[in-house]
Amino acid sequence: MSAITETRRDSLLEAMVRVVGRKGYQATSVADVIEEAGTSRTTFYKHFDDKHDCFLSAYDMLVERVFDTIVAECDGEQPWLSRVRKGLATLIGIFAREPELARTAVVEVAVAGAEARQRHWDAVARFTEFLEDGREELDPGGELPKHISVMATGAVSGLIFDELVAGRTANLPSLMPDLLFAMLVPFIGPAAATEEMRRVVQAT
Amino acid sequence: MFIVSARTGLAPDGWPPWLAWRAQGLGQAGLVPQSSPQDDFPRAFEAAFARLQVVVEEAYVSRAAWPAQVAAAIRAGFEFAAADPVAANLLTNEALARGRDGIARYHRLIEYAAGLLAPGRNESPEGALLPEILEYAIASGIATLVAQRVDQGRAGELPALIPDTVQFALTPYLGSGAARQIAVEAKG
Repeated sequence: MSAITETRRDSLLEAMVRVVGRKGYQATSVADVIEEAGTSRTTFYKHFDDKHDCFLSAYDMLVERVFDTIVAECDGEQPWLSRVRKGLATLIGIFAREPELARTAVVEVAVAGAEARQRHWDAVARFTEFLEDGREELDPGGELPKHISVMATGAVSGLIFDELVAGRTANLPSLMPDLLFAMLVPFIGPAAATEEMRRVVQAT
Repeated sequence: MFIVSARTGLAPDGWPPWLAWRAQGLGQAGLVPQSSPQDDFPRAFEAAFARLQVVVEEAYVSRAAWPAQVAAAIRAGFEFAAADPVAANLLTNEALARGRDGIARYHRLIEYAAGLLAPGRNESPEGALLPEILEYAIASGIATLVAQRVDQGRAGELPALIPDTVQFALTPYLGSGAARQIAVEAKG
């Protein structure tokens, strides 16, 4: 694929993310995406079969972008608690800066059908792997529940989901202490999670 | 929705302020359930939700102590989902795919579960310091696990995940050790 062709495809993917985040998946049309991208219908269908095909690729792209940013911000040599704190802050920062991306990633993916939902579960699995990296460090005795990371991820994404559907995206950074508590408490217990929450409050 | 509330004394007026705050936010966003005569989803959701509430409530009130009540409620909910994955999918994935109306109904499910967890604050020495969103977060985490398993055709695995889920739900209130003890008892 030439650089220009790739750029046009990326423009369409970015446009899909923005338009779906603004209008919702159901209300978004191919014409909306073409207009947002400033390209032609021919170009769109050169790259994608239909709206759904484009959305799935756009979702994959945004997940990669979010993960790449998180990984780049987190120093793998740091202790687990520091990595989780930094990773969550990075995610919240991206969502607060890009509310359309946030809504597409968290809310609209549920509307876009079974394939999109499977991609969502794949993204959840990547977040849980990120959390699982701490299991040995935190739990040398292997007493933490095996599926705790999925539920911790679900706890945080449920809270973020609510803020997005309630139109309080700008409020997300102020929720960082609560979100951090929700993510940490199943791993480190209430006393240590409260301490981490206080630390974040004091730092802000 | 308030069947359990009436029996357990968790009347809406007595719910934590954050529940009202969240409900207000959702109301401002237009997320109030609306029925449509052309759509069977609202009726199907409400029927499934009512059936879930009956089994969860029966389990919850069958125990005296709150930790055991929560463990019993989780067991009842997971066995319900394993036995009727179509209903469980309707209450989670399908609801979230339905836009505003479905999201509003899903929120009622989460608020219902959160109401069952709220008495845990009285069990915790740090109850007053726990963040207001805690119950909603726990309920969302459990719902995510159920939604994932159901969506992937693995609802039959849910009963085996009851101990892990009990520990997840109780740890914020009781601490890891005490929650693990209840989770071990929930294996039986």
